[in-house]
Amino acid sequence: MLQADAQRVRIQGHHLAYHRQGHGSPVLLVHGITTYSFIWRNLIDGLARHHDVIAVDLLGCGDSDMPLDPSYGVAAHAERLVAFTQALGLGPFAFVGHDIGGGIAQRITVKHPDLVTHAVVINGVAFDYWPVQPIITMRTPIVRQMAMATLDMGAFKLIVQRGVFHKERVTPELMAYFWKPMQTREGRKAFLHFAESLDNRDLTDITDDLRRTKTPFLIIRGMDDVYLRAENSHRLHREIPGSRLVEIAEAGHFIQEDQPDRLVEELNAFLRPNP
Amino acid sequence: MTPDAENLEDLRDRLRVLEKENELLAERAEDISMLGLVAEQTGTSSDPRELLGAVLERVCILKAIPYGACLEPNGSFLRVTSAYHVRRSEEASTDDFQLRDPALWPPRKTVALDPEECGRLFKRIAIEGQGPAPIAVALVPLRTSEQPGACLLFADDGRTSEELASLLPLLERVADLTQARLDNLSLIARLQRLNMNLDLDVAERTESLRRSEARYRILFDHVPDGVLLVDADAEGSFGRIEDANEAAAVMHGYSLEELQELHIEALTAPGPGSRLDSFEARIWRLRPGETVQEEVLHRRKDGSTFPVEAIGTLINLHGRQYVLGFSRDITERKEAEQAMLMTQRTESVGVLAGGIAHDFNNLLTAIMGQTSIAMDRMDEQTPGRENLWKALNAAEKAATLTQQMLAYSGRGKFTIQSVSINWLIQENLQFLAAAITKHVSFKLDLDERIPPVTGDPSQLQQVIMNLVINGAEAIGNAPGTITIRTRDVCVEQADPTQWPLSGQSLAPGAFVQVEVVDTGCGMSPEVRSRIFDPFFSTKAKGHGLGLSAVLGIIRGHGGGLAVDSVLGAGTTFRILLPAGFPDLSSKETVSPGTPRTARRTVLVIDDEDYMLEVVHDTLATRGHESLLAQSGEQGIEMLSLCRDRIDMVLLDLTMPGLGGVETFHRLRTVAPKVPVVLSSGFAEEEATAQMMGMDLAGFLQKPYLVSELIRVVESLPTSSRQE
Repeated sequence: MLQADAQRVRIQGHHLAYHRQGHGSPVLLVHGITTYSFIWRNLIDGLARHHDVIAVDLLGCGDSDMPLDPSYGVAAHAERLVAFTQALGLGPFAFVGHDIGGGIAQRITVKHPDLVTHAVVINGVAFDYWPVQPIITMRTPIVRQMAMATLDMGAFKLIVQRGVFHKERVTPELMAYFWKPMQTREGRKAFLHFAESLDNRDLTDITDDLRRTKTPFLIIRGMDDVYLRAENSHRLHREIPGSRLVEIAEAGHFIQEDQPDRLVEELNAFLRPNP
Repeated sequence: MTPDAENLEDLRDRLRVLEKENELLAERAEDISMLGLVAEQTGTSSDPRELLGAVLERVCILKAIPYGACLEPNGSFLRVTSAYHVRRSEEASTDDFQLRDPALWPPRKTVALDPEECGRLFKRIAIEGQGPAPIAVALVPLRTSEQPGACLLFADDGRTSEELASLLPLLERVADLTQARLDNLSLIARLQRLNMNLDLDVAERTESLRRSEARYRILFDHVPDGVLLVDADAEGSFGRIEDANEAAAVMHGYSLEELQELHIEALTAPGPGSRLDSFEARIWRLRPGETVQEEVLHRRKDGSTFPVEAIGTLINLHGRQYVLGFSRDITERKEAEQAMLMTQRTESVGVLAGGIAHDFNNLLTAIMGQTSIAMDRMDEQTPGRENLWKALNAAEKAATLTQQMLAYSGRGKFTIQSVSINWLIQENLQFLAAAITKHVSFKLDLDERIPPVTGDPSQLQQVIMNLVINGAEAIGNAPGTITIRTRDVCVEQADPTQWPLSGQSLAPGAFVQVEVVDTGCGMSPEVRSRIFDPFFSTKAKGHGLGLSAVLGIIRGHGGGLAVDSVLGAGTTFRILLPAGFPDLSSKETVSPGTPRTARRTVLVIDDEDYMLEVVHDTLATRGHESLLAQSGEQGIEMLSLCRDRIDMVLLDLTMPGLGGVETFHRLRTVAPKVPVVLSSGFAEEEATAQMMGMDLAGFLQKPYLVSELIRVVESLPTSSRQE
């Protein structure tokens, strides 16, 4: 479980919140859009037995600051997280990213290969995943649906339910986690700013870099993820040399809710040092 | 184009149309959802500012409009009362809007403006965080009752004015919902203000009323008399007790709560004498401001009755008629009046008895005197002498009766000395025991520490005797007990209700209390109220003077007398006698007769001719001369004429016209040294008290024996003849 109070560190003029637990080689857990560090709560204990686990809230998410000036795109988050790890004094670390976090994992790995020992992409965005161009983001249906979700918990719950295979696990307690940032106007604006900041080019630009990376990659996909096409994960597996693809059944987009133990098992196995 | 290619193209066209329709449907669904969210917000928000902010946010987010604001006119400027910018943090904005012509504001209808039209309306538009001027601006009038000039403004830098115009119907619906809610909120605020003012007003009036009520209550509750407010609204009859004070509740033996549940009839004693009907009848005849006052009989909770002085008046209170009544418990006053009446009656009867006794004594003197003279003129064996002797005995017994009557009237023979009551009782115990039947036993409870009293021992003995005899008679033939108890008491303030038979004679001080308690038949209240009346007796053969004499003797001693009796259980007589050590001097009783002396000439002054006769006849048997005068004036004239012959004057104290005292004074001017012997039917003490300071040669109490008269006359020295 995550500790009750997050720690905070000032990065580039704004505070980032994070939870840190365990000892060993560092592992950075990075969430995606609509979630924040809470999504790792069922995994952190299992990982912390062998690793120094840091679950960070991206800028504009969770308990981190929510300024509307900086970009919340994948590239901006990636550079911000590099500064974050330096501020924490982390050496080379493993990067585990979910959804947008998976995209950030790809960008940091190729842009800062000396920092990342292992990269894990869980139901991650890749290539031209985002169906819109920034300038008209707010008027596209997918974003308007997300915008509606910021105002209507019922709409938000539909999004979450579609993203979880075991629907009975979408409890009021889980929805309280998801809904927390939407309870303030600031949180709602930050969420929409996140959506508006997304730009395919942040990932399409690094396609060639991915093909040349030497960092071990683990690609995990929930086979019942309706938000990201299977092709994303399959193409990643094809493009990234030496990558390993694990497809887990009975797991939706929010695979951390459906198969936490399986994830811990896969991650610990992947991150175990080679004899 | 091949048929397959045509079909494919056709299918693509249909797909595009379907996608477009789908998009429109989705947009329509979103619009409905948005209106639903706005309606939800307008239905729940209670703060106008919060409402506007939430509505603007929903519209801007869901319709992807970057900026929305609510503007109110302020001269040529427009004040931003609420704003939402999708890319701006939640801080106070400095958005600035200035009109070219205030008369053009607010717009008459919902409108979308292009940059040129914006330029004609606005002199300045400055939206913080917005770069270039907006491409399109939508204006939606709000027209609230509080702010008819209020208007919603939406600025978009991604749509043209035509594109923004397609949203106007939706924005109008939003404005309608918002305006209705804002009007409701202002109405609610106005009602709350009115309510608050009303609450303040009510609170103030309630406080004022409370203070007034408290003041009324204090006055009401502190009135020492009972106060009753009786409902009199039903015509012709009294009703429920609407209100009462604590004094009324205590007076009647109820709690205040109980009293306020009663009908007035519950407090009035039933039967004749209550006079409630009279009181009620007079109440109804009252004119405004008048009151009615009556003595009525009230009833307590325990059923006992008590006299009340009631004052009532009709009042009108809050449109309803009431009787406002004041009631004063006059039980003590009535008891004091009764005691005074009894005292006055006793005194009246005493005066009567004294007057009768006095005249009777005169007659007895004549009877006894003439009978003695007749017996002296007879030999021992003369027939009829024995009869005369019996007549003389009867006359002496009659004299005893008159002494009792004089004692009752407080004018009996007194010999003042220090008397130990305990010694008096113990010394006369055998006489007391002889006076009662064998069935009756004595108990003595005598406190040895009691002081002596000042009084006449024989009178006090008579009191004890009379009370013991009375108690024995009450016990009758059944076994019983008479207890005599003595205590010393200190009376700080004489309570006439506790000692009702004392009259004015009971003064504060040290006393000896004597109780005579019998276990006899007791007395009813009616009998008890009359036992001290002279000649009242419950026995066939009683003369009814025993207890009268007791009363007279006790009052004559300045003491107190009270009686408690329970019918069938017994009676207790309580006596208070002043304790003290008087300056005593006992007066001599009549000494025995002296041998025949030289002839005397006696001037006899008495208004009764039979008294003159018997004195004349008595003196004549001894060879003395008597000059008879039937009035003071006649006596003075005789003394003036025969001063040289007269050896003494026998003067009656009580005479009509010139009384004994004044006659004495005038005799003294004629013959300053002539011996004067006073004669009276009253006790010597009282008689000589009237002659205080005068030199009397002696006193003869009527009825006196001839021997006493002869002794007094012959005891004077012959050389006392006047010069």
